[in-house]
Amino acid sequence: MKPPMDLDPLLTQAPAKDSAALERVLAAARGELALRRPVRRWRTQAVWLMAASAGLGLLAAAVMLAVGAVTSPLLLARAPLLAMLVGTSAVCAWGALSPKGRWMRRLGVGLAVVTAAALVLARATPHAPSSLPGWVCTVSHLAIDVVPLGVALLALRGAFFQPLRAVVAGLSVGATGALLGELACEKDAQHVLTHHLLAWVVITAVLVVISKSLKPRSYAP
Amino acid sequence: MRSQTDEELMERFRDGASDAFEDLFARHAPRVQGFLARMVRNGALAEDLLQATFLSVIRSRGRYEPGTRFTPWLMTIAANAARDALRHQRHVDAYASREDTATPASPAPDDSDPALRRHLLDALQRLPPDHREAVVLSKVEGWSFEEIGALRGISPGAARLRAHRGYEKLRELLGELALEVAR
Repeated sequence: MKPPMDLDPLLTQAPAKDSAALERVLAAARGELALRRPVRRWRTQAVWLMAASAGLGLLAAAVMLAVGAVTSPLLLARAPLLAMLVGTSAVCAWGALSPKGRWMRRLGVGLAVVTAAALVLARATPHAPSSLPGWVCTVSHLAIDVVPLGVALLALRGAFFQPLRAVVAGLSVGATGALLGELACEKDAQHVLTHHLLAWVVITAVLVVISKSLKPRSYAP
Repeated sequence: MRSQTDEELMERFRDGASDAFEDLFARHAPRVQGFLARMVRNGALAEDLLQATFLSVIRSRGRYEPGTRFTPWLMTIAANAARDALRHQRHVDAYASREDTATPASPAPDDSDPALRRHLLDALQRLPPDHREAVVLSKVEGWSFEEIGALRGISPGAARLRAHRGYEKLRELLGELALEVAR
């Protein structure tokens, strides 16, 4: 029987070098360098995303406290959940933008699931029914997420699209609205599940879809 | 004077030294060009992808981590660019197969036959992109299956399987070709 053909020598044979193409690419690269765009370090971008998501949520908390929309005892009672949300948002932001953050991205997803479960399970039955319809929470949740969503999309364009990267960026963004929901909403666990967590899922899906459809500025990992 | 390593050049480039980029380009552009030529087998597209690869190096130099080996980082960018292009331009495969059928019959192939090499490159285009990438990276670029697995977020075993299946399919395609030529 004839031995199988060894393809290695053929595969490793170098294709003909196209010097003209190399010259054209180098000229394009020099043109890009001539624009003197600032170098954006991924850590700086991650800090920006953290500031835009968790930072915005904390700012909202401070404003609500200042205008009397929330009380200090309520804020203290919700502090563990708020800390979980801030932590989840930060881990997700870091994981989304880190070039080698595969384990961090998985950790971010895990943390988000645990935090979401805690948000539902920790919610007590309200003393008095709210007069506002449930969708107000969903819309408010999505509205406050717009700013971090923009920051996340800009940052993600600097790297090759990876679904898990986009998912954790979306989870980081969605934590902002969840944080606001913890402060401003007194409704029951069912409402948190169907209106707050739904909004978190929706904003994550929106970020993944937009991020996938945008032409990347870079294919870097 | 000791020449700088790729990693030292990349760190200098990241810190603002544009001349370091020129050195990196001179060292690596032909290799990346070869990789892309095998991946897409379309001169114009390969040139676009080569440009996309080096523009990505410039635009994302802030994503380069000190201590990262430069060549795998660069080839990851090129592989990502090729993967994206293949996803969006399925007609490349159709183009390659049309070109293949238009190829005149050549004498029975042997390893020194340039026609065999041309057919091999055509056959590469018939592989699923994931298998093609695994074959080129493992057989041509000398990547380990751990490195290919890390690139695509799969296990080393899965990367080995992709490369093995791709390689076997290549053999099969070239065997069919040899039979056609012999008839």
